[in-house]
Amino acid sequence: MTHEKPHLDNVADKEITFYKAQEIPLPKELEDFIAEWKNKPGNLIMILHKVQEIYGYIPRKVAMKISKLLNEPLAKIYGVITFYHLFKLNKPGRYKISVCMGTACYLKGGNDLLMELENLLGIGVGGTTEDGLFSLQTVRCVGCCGLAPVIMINNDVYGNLTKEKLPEILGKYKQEGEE
Amino acid sequence: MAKKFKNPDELFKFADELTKKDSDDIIELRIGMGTCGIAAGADKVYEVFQKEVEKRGLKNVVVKKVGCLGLCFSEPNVEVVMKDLPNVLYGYVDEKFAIRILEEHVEGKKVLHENILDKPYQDIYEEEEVK
Amino acid sequence: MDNRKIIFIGCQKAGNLYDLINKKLVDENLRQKVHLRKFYTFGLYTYKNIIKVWPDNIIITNITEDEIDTFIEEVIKNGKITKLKDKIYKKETHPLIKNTKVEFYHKQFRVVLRNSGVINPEDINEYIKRNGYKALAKILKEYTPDQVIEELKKSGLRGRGGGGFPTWMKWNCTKNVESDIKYVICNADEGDPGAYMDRSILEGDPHSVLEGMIIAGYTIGAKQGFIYVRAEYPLAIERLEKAIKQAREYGLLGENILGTDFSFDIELRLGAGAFVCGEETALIASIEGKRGMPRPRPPYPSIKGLWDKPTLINNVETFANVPVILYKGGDWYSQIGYENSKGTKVFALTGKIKNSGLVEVPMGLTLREIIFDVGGGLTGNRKFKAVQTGGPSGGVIPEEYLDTPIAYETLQNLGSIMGSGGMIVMDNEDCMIDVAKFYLQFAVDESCGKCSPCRIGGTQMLSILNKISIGHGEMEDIDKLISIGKAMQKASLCGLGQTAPNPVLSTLKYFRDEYEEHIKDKRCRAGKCRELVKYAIDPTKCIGCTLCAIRCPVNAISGERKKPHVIDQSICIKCGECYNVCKFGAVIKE
Repeated sequence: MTHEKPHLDNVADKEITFYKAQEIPLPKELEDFIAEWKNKPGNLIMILHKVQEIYGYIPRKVAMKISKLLNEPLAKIYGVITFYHLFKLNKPGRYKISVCMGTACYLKGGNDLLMELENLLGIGVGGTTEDGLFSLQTVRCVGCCGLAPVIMINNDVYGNLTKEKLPEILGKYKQEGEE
Repeated sequence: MAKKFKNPDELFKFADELTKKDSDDIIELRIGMGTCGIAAGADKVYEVFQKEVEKRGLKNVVVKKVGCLGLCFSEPNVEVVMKDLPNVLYGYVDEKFAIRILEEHVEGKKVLHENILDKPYQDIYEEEEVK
Repeated sequence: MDNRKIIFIGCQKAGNLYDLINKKLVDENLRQKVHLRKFYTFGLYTYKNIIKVWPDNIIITNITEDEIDTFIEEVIKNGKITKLKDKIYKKETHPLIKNTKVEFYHKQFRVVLRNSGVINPEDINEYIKRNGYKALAKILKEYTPDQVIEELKKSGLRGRGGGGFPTWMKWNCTKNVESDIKYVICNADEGDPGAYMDRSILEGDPHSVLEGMIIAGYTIGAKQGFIYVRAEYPLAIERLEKAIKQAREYGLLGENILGTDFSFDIELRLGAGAFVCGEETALIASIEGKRGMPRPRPPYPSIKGLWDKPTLINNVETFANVPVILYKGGDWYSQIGYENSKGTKVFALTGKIKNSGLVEVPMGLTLREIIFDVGGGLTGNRKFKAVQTGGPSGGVIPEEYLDTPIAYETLQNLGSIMGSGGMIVMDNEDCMIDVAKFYLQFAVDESCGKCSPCRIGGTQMLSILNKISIGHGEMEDIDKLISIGKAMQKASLCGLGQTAPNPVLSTLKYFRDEYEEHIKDKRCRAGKCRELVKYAIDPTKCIGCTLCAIRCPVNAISGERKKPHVIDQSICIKCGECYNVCKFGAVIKE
């Protein structure tokens, strides 16, 4: 998906004020989506999903703009964002590694995978590598318990894993990322 | 573009027509493609089947995506449904084995004696209660 | 209640077997004592004349006409099989599959998963071909809402989301409330770690859920339905969207469904990863676009739900059952099952089990049958320790209760719950304190924080468990766990808090000795609690290859080449690396 992000990247978070946020034009895809949902009750969560789909997280400036568009207080929007695990406030890496911590994966060594990944990447859960390539998070059950233990990298699932297989998988993405 | 049913009877009629259209010669390859099937490589098997079926010009073979068969431990799973042979469910199907299924089972009409999984449960729509 | 046996007779190759048995039964005045059913296809590929008997779950193959008398005598009259013993189906004698070791479907009965694995979920025609939407058409043609409820009542269907509330009562209650606007919600926010029944239904047969919801809409008088589905299930969402679009094109959703004056539409709402949103009032708050926090009940959602309107909430599996019940009749459905738990239940069988996967079994099958027959036993033939049902709201069940039939009440009596259907098998390498900690940690993370029993109680219990697992526990901690747990069960606002102590209380009930061992002997017999494990080298097995000494990150292992090595306990950080790398099994966990 290609989308223009006019002006947005040029405005630093520090400088952002409510007034400025209103000036920022949103990508067309998002604008259309908001227009479609604007008058439906209970639209906030669906709009936040769309924002995250486009940006990978929910930038503060976009949250401000939405607050204006929906006429909802920013505090309420942040209340919702921080309540749900899925919404992120920081930009994730290009490859999002999700380690499944469902019961089956936990019993079969999901925790060992997580520790090994932390070692290999040098980041903790919720962190992003310096090159912006990988970010690490835990998730509650991907729903592939038959393949436990499982990790997901973006939308690809890797099952029946052992610690030893991890460097090779990471290497593949690293190579891809550097190309 | 599908038509809208104008009354309940039209739906019944449509269902009957669909059943009648079924030809006996159709060979169905059902590939379990839920999230875990795909994670285990079912999408690759699906592609192999599609490609090979086309290459071999097997016109009566339908390669079909289906939901989870429940046998997560033996993914990817493929069930072959064809006339004159029992429905056979194969597990642990990789790209190589997929080609063997096509060559030996579909074209050769012989059941492979490997990786077969048992499926003795009856279909609730193919029974009738007699009072 | 209906205790009659069901005799399934395979008819494709059976010739006149059915007629002969039927006649014989009539002659002997036994016909009323059993249900007879014909069926036309059967997975037992090469056998002729197959008869399956329920609920005994025996399959008799290759029965001849002369043997019909014996069959009736032994199976129906006496219930003890002697002469026909050799004809009972065993996988070992199956000509095709004797080489494989899987008997996965033998005891299964697929109602909810009837189309899963058979049809292409992205093609509505395939669903219609398999009798899809026929129940809806029949209802719109002939049934009043009350008749639908009557049929559900006969079926005995109960909510499959965990609570087990009779479905007809919920529908009836919502129907009877006067309101111009009502809603139907499908709860597809499957949050239990280790459970994926709903996902598989949505991915394998989305139309069955839609049809169930449309029928619900007609019955209670709603025009709008919502499916609240986890955003973590992209494939399920994609297939649902396609299904909704196709149903609209066919006039099965939208204005004037099937040309009648009934209109109903369905929209998707995505969850955003909050376990508490599986609770119905929290789910409603989330659809309204708020923080998903529960509120006290009553008023129940059936009176005051979404946007304060009467709302019917059922889970995916419940809705998927509805079309079959109305197509085949409530009586048909109520023949399957056990006492007050009718029908089947889908379980996600995972953990240390050979055939992990999704199984659908009739209620009343025992846990042992599910784990050892359907599931094929434990991986590596290790010793069974416990099975966990119901996820973070459930409890563990030890070996001595494995012969309990599966039903809502029986599981509850054991201190666990049916839940939505996660079933996790544990072996000797799993520590019960560790397991309890895992589930409680989950509940603490997911607690919304609105009420204090759940917020504070959970955290306190967790810190006590942590203390025990690192060897600092005291005996009175056990009593504290019990009293906090009981307070949480009584005083928490919603289901999450009320059931969060269950994993701790049930492990305490059945594995108290393990807790005491952690506290008194500072020992974890499963070797899971890191702080309590001690690694040592067995000098008789060690050949002095030096691999462990090379791998040890803190140089705690010393010894000469080709001579037994020793671990210096004062340096060891218990990382387990030596245990993992030793090829001779010389490193032991104590």
